[in-house]
Amino acid sequence: MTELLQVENLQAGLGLYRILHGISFSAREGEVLVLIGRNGAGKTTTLRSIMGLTRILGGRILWQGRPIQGWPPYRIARLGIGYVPEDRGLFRLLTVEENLRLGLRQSRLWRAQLKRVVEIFPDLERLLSQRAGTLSGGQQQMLALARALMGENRLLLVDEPSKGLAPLLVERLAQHLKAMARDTTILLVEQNLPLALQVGDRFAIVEDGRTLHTGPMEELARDRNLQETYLGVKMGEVAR
Amino acid sequence: MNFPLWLNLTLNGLVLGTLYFLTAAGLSLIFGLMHVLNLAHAALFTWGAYAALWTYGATGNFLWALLAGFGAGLFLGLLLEILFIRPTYGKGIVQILLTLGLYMVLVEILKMIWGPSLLGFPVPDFARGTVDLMGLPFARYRIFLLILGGALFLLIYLLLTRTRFGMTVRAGVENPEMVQALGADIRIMFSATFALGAALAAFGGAAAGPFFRVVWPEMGLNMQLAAFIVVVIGGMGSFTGSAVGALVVGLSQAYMGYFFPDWALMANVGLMALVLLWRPQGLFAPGR
Ligand SMILES: Nc1ncnc2c1ncn2[C@@H]1O[C@H](COP(=O)(O)OP(=O)(O)OP(=O)(O)O)[C@@H](O)[C@H]1O
Ligand SMILES: [Mg+2]
Repeated sequence: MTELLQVENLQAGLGLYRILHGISFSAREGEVLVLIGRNGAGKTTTLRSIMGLTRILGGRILWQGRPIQGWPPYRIARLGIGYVPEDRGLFRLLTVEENLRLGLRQSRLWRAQLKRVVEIFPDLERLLSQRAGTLSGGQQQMLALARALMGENRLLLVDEPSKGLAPLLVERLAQHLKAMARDTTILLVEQNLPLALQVGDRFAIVEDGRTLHTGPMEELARDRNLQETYLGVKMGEVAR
Repeated sequence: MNFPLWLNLTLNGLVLGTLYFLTAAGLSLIFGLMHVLNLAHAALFTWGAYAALWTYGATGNFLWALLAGFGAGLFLGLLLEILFIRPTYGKGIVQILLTLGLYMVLVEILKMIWGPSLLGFPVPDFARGTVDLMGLPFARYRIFLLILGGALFLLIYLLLTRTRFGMTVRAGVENPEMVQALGADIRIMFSATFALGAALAAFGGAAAGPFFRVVWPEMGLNMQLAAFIVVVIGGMGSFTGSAVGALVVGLSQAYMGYFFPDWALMANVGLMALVLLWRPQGLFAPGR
């Protein structure tokens, strides 16, 4: 397995205020790496830093061995990195079709890419002409994921996709993420343990702007202590 | 009030609205997309008028004059964005003072070249004279302006709704960060939008020349004031909003100007205040 993205001792923040103090991990081609950690630990800031949306104060970000820290977001995106932010980042006044088109790297691939994406998200096909802002929460999440898929990205950064979704929809989301993971590497921030266990291959723990520990998903599945500390899973709750 | 008078006032209101629209559309898009309050916009309007007058004098062809106005705006807009606006994105106060300074410099340059006084702008032959509108005369040039404004509205509307550039601009008004994260170079988009907005204002100035029949260095100021009112009413960043707002302000200007001339400006400011109280984001902009 080759390393697609390596993050080495990354420090980042707003102005001079540091939020990340030393984030290190690497995502291997084809895997789903899950970042877990308490609220305010710095998971979102990590994804934003990779995308070029925060000021990097130290450390390195390597894309296939090449440093990309300090690049403007659009160049980072064009490497083949897609971003699904915590708030979904949809253009609410634009239609579903327009949102999807904006995810395309080459306009002429519209038909082909739409076909691919609709195989995973069949519901979107009949919503194409609807404004994104009028979709339900679950539909909006599908659209955000689908838009990231339109760009033939090699890596997707997905921030807490289960947030605000009803339990039944989280189950579907897991299926969607698995389908997406078949031909894309995913860096997933997720606090929902069953979901993380279902789709993740490995996990990394973020705490106070640092990565503490990385391990295979089985370890997280076994270790109740880790679950309680970083995912807020209560004693007695069952992880599947 | 009889029908012919009503019709006449309405058409005159729409003509004014067309000029307001050309000035306000750029102002609104520039603010909506990059949060720049461009106080130099008025100077671009005036530069468009002078560029058109000069070209009209040199070529005798009014279409060339209009194109020259547009071109001058495009060129100046690009220059201003790259030299002054780009280094100051995100610095609101600095930018407001800077664009105010740029307004003054641009107007002073006009005065140095053409002098401070009024210069006549002849109405082109094809639009000279008046037509009879149910007994009341109506200037042909105003009909031309209405057609021109309508065509331009349609053109920009299509640009914004049917092209990838337009789609990206509309998306950028909502969420510029996400547009970049999807791979669009926001700097190029900003430059293009700024230049296009400047060109529209300058085109408005060029078209306004034969309407006022004179040009003068401060002619953009009144336009800018009206355009601000339009943009507040229509909603910052909304193109349709600036069109509707411009027509509303134009019509109110025409009716009030006829019946209560002293209250015309007050009426528009009052309209703006009402909108601000009722829907602070403007009639057509989405609530945040
Ligand atoms: N715009 C901001 N202004 C001030 N502080 C911020 C800002 N954004 C993030 N922070 C701070 O940075 C820290 C990390 O935030 P971040 O959003 O990356 O955490 P997170 O792990 O994604 O949390 P959550 O689980 O709540 O999404 C937090 O302590 C937060 O308060
Ligand atoms: Mg977060």
